[in-house]
Amino acid sequence: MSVKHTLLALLYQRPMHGYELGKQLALTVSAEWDVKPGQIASTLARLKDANLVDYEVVPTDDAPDRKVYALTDEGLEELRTWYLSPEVRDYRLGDAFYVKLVLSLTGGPVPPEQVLMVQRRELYQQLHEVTELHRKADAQTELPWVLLLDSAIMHLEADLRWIEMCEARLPELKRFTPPKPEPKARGRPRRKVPQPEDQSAN
Amino acid sequence: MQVIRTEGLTRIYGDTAQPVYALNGVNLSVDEGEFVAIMGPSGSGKSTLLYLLGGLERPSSGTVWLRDARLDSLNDEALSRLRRTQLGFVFQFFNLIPVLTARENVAMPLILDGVKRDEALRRADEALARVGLSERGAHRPAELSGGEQQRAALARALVTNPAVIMGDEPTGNLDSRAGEEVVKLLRRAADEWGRTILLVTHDPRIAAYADRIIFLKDGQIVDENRLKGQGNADHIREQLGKVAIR
Repeated sequence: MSVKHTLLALLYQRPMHGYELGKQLALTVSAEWDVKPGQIASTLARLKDANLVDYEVVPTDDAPDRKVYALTDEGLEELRTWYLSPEVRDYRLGDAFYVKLVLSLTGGPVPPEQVLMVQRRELYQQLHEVTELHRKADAQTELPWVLLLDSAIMHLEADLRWIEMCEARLPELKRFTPPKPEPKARGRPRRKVPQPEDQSAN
Repeated sequence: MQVIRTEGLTRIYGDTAQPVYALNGVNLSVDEGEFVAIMGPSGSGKSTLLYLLGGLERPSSGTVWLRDARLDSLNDEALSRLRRTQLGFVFQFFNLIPVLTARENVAMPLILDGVKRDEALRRADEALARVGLSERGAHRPAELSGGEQQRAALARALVTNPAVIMGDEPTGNLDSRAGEEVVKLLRRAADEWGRTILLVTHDPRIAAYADRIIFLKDGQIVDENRLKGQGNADHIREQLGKVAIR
């Protein structure tokens, strides 16, 4: 997700200065703002260069002058385009557990049944905790948090259903044997087969 | 305090030449006020286990204790009476009587047990209030949504104040929202009203409400997950709270 577009989206609400933007984001999405300090300022500078925002210098009594930023028409268009473009989900399906499961199918000190069981236990524990958090959350005052919890619940459910499916397919999965690699030729390269010119020399 | 205990519980179908072990030597114990989910693939024996625990079927061998009563040694009449007073059932397809109102459906177990009609209806109203159906008591099942019908069925299961509520896929016929309402009520029944809950389900989101999940396969318990008081909710809250913004 980009800082640039987040700032444009916030500025749609009203013009703000840099510090306000940082605070408003954390309050809106209710998440940890995992961004280096100074990044908002540098992003605003780039947005200004690209003519997506403009600023007004506002003098304040007991503090340095502030730059209050606002969207330009181009900025609004850019924001609209962003909202209308789908996002790529960034979770990796081929993760550590997937690799572990496949390897366990090829044989090892622990059978795949147990590998699945261990993972299932962990996932149910997490689903239980997230369900508890969901129960305690207030949909009126903590909506973004509730949405996040809903997402966590559904993804955990999907993971658990996949594990269930793997368990059901174990008999066929255990028949999997990976191919062995081709042996690599070693030593000096062999001489080429003699050409007709060579033979005539003998 | 243990409210349910089984030893070597076994149920065999078919003739002696080709017996099918629906349940094979299950040892289980459930404490008062516990919420236990029973899961497993089709044919794992989970419904058989529930019906044996609820006295709806008799085991081929092994014992089932409901408090001090040994279910497998009671005669049909005693078993029937025990089911009416100590156990409440909720099924996937609600099983309400279509020609009776919700209120009358809920009052039915009391009336069958000899309670006077007025008193039975009064207690039915109390049970309906507990499940949030006070305004809907005069309606017939056909006039209620799926979720409302199941909550009426739950009220009916609760009206006799049984020690144990048993559910066989009670949310199987409900959408997510309605299913969540039902399982939350079951959770309250355990936390606030001291009932012991036994739930057969194949829905992970429903099972996650339990204190413990028992996994069956081929008629045997293959795993048990204790969920209550194990994990670290703060850690998860922290993890989820970090939104990736670059």
